[in-house]
Amino acid sequence: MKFSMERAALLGALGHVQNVVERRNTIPILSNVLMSADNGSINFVATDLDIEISESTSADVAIAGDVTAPAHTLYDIARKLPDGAEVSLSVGSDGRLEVDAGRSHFVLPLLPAGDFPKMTADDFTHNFALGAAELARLLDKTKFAISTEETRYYLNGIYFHAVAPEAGSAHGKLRCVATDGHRLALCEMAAPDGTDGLPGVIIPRKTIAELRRLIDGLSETVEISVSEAKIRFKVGSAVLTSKLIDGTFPDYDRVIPKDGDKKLVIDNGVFASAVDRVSTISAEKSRSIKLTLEGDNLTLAVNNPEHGNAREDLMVDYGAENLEIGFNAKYLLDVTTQIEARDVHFSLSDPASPALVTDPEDDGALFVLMPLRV
Amino acid sequence: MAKPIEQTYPEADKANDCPRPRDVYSLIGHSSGETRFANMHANDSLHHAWLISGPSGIGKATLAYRMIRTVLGGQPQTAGRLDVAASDPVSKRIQSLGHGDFLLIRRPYDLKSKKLRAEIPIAEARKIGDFFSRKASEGGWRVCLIDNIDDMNRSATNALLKILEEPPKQALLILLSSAPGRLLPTIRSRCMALPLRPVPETVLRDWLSTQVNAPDTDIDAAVKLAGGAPGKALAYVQNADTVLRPLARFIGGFPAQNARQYHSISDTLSLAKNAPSHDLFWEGLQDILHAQAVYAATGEWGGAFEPLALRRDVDEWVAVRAELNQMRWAGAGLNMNKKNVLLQALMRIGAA
Repeated sequence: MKFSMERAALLGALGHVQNVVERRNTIPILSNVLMSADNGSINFVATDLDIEISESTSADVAIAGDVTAPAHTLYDIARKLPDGAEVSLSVGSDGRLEVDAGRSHFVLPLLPAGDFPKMTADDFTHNFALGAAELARLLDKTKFAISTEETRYYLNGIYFHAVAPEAGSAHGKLRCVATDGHRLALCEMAAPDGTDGLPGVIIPRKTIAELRRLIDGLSETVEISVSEAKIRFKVGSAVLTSKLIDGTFPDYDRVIPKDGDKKLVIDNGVFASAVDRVSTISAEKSRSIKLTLEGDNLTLAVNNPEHGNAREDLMVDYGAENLEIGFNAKYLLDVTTQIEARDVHFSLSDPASPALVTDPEDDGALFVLMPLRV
Repeated sequence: MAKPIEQTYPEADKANDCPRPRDVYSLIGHSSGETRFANMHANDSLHHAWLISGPSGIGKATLAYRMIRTVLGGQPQTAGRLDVAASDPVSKRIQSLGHGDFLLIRRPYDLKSKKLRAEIPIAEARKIGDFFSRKASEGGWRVCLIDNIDDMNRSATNALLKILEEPPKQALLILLSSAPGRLLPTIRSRCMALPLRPVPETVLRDWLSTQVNAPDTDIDAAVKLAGGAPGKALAYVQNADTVLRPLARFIGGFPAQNARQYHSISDTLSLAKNAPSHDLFWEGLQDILHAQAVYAATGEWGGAFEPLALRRDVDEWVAVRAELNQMRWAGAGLNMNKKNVLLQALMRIGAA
């Protein structure tokens, strides 16, 4: 194998794929990037056995072939070479990779391409496209609620699925849901073409993080392919393929409260900073905070026998009967960061029932918080 | 040609002087167990967990890798066997540990302390749950090999139990154990047991003479000492200079006591570079004492070399063997000077 390309192109391609390679790795082949040179283009592939990222870029290919070389080392070399340098990579006579750029010369060990993991992906049943920004919104508004509890592994990801059109509407929805049992986040958008009958899939947390990094700040289209076992995202020349979680996501619809008759409207920024202040002295573990609603007055209170008390009064828009309800301060803050409008809407029913939190300017997102006993 | 500068780490599942089990393709003996597995796999009635047991070096991991290659889609060359070729693409990915549907759990290598851990901690056992919670990478079975389960600590074993109780579909767990009796009964009862029997001596001798170029006396002694475990026989032959020959000289020296020789043997074996030979020598010594006790009782000699030219009855031999065993483990447990422990042991055998 022998090819040469611009340093910037090499750096860009390796930059995308090397993220998935773990720095501390005792399995040599998983530290490597697979390079396949053919017909004027190079395909770089890296994997951690759960996620595979590949990127193809054009290059001057003299001899076609496949090899694998240490990903981080190669990336570091590309990073340190001067801008504009022409980098040539070739397999030397001793079976090692020779990297040449200007006066620099590197020799790296190789492993055979046949040893490299293969993620078969030929049975995708659904293909559709989304804007990168739309996809980023779906992920950002839900990923904070992903569970980290290992025993309920089916909650360790975002449930990505299509919802059939409601009566009277022509289009279905594409919906992302994440929950850890204490809170739930749901974000949806009008379903793009090709999502009819899309199987509900659970995308693992690490895949979400890698994908988010890949599409960050982009406005391009992301092509998504889904099968029973895998999901693939194609952005420009980069392709991310991931295994899916093998489990059944719970019937989340039952926990979304529909009968909350007590509506509360608060200025989101004021509420968030007040919660943050009061929670300073809440107990490390429960982080519980009590909300007392009396007329248009909301009192946030924390009573911690070890660290003292805190309270703060806020003017709110609330017309229903008086109510006392407790929440986890961290969960309240997480939700307020997802609200884009000036105000946040709570819909409550009683101290033992979950609260529904919505954004008046975004009817595609909703959040459910379980109350705490205070 | 320059040596490849591939970075390698110590591997807990590799025995000294033996190839890594995942690099071994030929299986010596154990064909009934293999056929049983092959038939169940062919009939689509594979049990989800297998416990392969037998002394170390007998071929547990070699058999397990043959199972794994077949289950993960390698094509066996013979019907009813599991002989997937080394050139099969599946074999290559398993060999490099780069198969997305294969997880190997063994004592991990700690990159910080640059040491192999002494046990399999719970973090490793959790990887199994994580692995089985993902769908298959290549669309078929997912296989986890635990090499070996005797190294798992208690909490890791409990974490494993959860997975054994509720295995997902198309998941296969293979557990290797050289002391299955010590396992939790709840683990044993959930596994299909596959105890491996010693390989017959004739088969072992034929195989060993194709593997190494060694004099017949070495091969004969190694086969006797190995007790039907090919891996052990190979290790004996490859350590002929530090184990087999000193052992032969020692045995042949009786009834005379040769203190100079005892010193030289224990000096050589206590060197750090000879650590594997040291263990092997002890095992050989104990096997010979065992054979000696049997010989004293029945008059039949089944051990390596010739019987010792010492007159004792069964009870005395049994007592010597027990005493040596105690010395060895006390020495290891208390971190005593290896040389002194071994020297004492050698002296003790000849002493009345």
